[in-house]
Amino acid sequence: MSRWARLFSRRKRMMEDLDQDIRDFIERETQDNIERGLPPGEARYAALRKFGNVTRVREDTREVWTMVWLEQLWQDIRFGLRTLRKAPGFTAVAVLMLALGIGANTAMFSVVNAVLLHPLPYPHPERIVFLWGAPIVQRVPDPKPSGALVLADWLMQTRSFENFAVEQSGEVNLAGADRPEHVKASQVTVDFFRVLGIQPYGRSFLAEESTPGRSQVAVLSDQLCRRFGAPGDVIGRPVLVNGLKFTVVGVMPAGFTFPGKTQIWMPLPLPWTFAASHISDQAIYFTPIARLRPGVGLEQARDEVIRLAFPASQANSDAEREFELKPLREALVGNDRPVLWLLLGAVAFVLLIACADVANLLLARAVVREREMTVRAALGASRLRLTRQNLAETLLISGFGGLAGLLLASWSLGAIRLLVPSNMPLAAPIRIDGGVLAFTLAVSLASGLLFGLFPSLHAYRSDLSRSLKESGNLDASDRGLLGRTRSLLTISEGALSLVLLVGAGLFLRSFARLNEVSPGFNPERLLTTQVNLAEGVYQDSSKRNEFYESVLQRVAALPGVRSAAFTSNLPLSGVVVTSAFRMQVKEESHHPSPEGDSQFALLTAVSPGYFRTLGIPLLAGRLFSDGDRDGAPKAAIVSESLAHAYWGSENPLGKHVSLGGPQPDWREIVGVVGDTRHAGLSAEPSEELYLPLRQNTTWTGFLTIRTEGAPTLIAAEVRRTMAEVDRNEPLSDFLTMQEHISNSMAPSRFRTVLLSIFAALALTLAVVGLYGVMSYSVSRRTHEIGVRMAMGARGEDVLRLVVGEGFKLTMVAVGIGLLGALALVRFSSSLLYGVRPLDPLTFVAATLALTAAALLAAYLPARRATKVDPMVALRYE
Amino acid sequence: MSTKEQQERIELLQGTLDLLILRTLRLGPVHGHAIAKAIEMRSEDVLQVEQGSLYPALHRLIKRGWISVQEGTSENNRRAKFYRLTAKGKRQLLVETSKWEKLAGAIARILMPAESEGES
Repeated sequence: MSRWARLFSRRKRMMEDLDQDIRDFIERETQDNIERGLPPGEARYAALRKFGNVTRVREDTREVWTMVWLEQLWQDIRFGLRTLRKAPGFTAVAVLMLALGIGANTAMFSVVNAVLLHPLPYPHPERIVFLWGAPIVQRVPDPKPSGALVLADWLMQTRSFENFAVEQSGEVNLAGADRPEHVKASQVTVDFFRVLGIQPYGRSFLAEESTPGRSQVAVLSDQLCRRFGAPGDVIGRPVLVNGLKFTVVGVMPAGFTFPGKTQIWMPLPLPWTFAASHISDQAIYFTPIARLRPGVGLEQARDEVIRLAFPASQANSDAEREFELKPLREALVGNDRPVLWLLLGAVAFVLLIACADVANLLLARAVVREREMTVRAALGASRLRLTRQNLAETLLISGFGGLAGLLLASWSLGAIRLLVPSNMPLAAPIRIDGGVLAFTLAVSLASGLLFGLFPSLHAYRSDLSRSLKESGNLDASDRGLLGRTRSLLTISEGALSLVLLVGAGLFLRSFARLNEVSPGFNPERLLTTQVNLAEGVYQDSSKRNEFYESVLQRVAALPGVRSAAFTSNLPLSGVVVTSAFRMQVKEESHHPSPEGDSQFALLTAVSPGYFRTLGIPLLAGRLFSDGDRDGAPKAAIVSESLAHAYWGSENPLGKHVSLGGPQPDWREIVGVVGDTRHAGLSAEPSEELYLPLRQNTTWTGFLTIRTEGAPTLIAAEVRRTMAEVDRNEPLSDFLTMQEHISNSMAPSRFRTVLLSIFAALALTLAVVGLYGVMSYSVSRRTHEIGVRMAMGARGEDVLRLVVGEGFKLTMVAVGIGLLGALALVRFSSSLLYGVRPLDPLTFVAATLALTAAALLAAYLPARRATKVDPMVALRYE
Repeated sequence: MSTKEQQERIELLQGTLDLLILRTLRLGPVHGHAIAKAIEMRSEDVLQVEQGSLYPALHRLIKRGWISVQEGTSENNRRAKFYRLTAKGKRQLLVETSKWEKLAGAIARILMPAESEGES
């Protein structure tokens, strides 16, 4: 735009220059003539005569600065606008259809853009990798926080990585403002910020700050910092983290919250075992993260780590194969990638259907305007000019459609942001930015060209002299090529929408199946809240036990409470602590212990009432009791799947397990309980090892309460009760188990709702398209129908004739659509739960839905056809 | 108007005029009137520069970036537009000159034998 503006202003300036130059020229010529001896008046006249036609010179010069094509384009646009204004109904319908298609695409693309395409906000993000698997676990000599340093040191020997860091995330209690609160926190080794390539304002951690006693420094997120003041003022000030004083040394730039939604970073190791349900020093909670050296590939780095980690004899073991080096985006986006591409593909179908609809409308119009075009061609308009004119018109339609679609998309963004699962990692906020605008522009242009193509093709076929002679009622050509094109478009619409219907049906069925899955406990009337004890105050485990017992006693005594319990891990809470620990099994059994990933189980500390409160069934042995406390023999309960993995068919009761470490710390298995699903309803049940809370008192966990009535009713009462025990203890929100489950189903809901909306849009557009074609066909055949009725055809014959035509088209569409769906459903197989991709019920239901809608679309015009008065129809010509 | 003098004068083709303008400007910045005068004088009045084509030609050259225009004061202290050759224009002058020489040579080679044929 600015280029054109510059061009225009330049033209204006050049034309002013020219005027001055012409005056100058004439004056000089006059002067020359005077010098030659002519009298002044005559000299000037001669000069003007010699110069010639000033206006002509100005015109010719102006043309140098004009772009003819631009002015012609402007003409075409103005003409197109006039024609569109003369057909407001057509214009409105076409623009609306495109707006729906383009709007849905824009909205969907803004999500894809934010998650998959927008570059991650770190320099050279492609070089940042996560390390997962056995070599890491095996290298940790002692999984206490100091083990992370050993691991970091060890990996620094590798040549593939430029920087290496280990992080461990959890929650801390932060005081410093008025009230203590829970904040997402991350402990990191010194090079963490260097790996990500983003340095804090102020300074990062120093090497000596990884020694215990010197590490009470913190870096805050911009968001957290703003609550205390400007970064410049906050740096150097103390904050209270878990009751201990930390000095703020740096503030991250706004928007940096890696990993997850971290608000505060502290160096590893801290002087205590921190955060997320640290039950055992032996559990590994680290995530190693590294930056590859420039030019080093993933495979090369992976080979090097494996060479360092395994002796040659162990090469190719399971553990080795399980080792993964994942690029940052891959690690963050993971499963979201196929879902998003699938949804974007689905929404592209919607746009194709909208384009086919508009193409059909344009074809119908092309017939009506045939004479106009023919006359203009006969008067000498070149085909190129006519085509360009048509194209200008269709591009105007698609341009308006794109604008309206952009509006629709920006309105729907609010709803989409709510629908997007909160754990979907966004590289940028979901909004309409430059990339999305470019996409919308490209899509609008492409669709304009796509549907604009059809009428233009038709225009090329038309025969000048014949068209001029014909009365405008083109039965022959209508039945021929044009009719076939329109039928083809209608069939494609039906087929595309059937594919989407099948996809949406499959997702809806899996969503329903997911709703039926039992989580392994009774989720009704369960109230939960997160507890995170300040480590400074609750350093002593007896104090923590006191807190828990006091809270549990008081809460259990509240009216409306059936029972209450504490647990360090709550199923489906989204806070799955992947506490990988090497479980050791005493040599009492002949069953081989699992290797590799299966060594990782979920470690959960629970109060005695936990299983009863959640309704997890006891399968063998006993539950924990108040007797399982310090001093008593150490007890453990295993989940059914863990028992199966370690002891097969043998009885696990009486067997002993340890959490690894140099000195085995044996615990006797006293019970086996049912499995629960932690990671999600669609995930496999977790292998879980339960320990008594009194023997393994954590700092964090969930208070779970089984209520008599609606759980939310007593939330305020529970909050008061907890404040009575410790008024400084920050409280998290109260969530019912149903809300946790609903959150855990967010990804499934996201794709199901979106695909259902797309399928509904597709079906509507396709049916409207069919309706349009049928209505048009009926109005074209009024004469023929009149003749039939005059010859004795009854209303139902006419009905059958017209509906039959629609039915034929639909059946072809169903056939093609089913083939397409068969070919495409396999892309959804990883996203389905409890439903096979070739689920017959879904296929049948989708086919019926399309057929029913299509018959309705054909029936309405057919009924109108039966109302044709033969006398009127015969005179219709 | 069809005097003998005018019949002897030759109107310039568009491309040729461009070349002559570029050549004229090689000596330094010149204003419009002087360009026309210079071409006419140096061709000993054989070539006539139509004002109708001089100005469009000048603007065409400006648009292509071969010459530039600037405000200046002429010898008798009057403000005028001076046209000047740009670096790009200098290169173009070389190209155009060699093109012209090729064309003139080729035409000459075609015409000469024809004359001798006619004489024989």
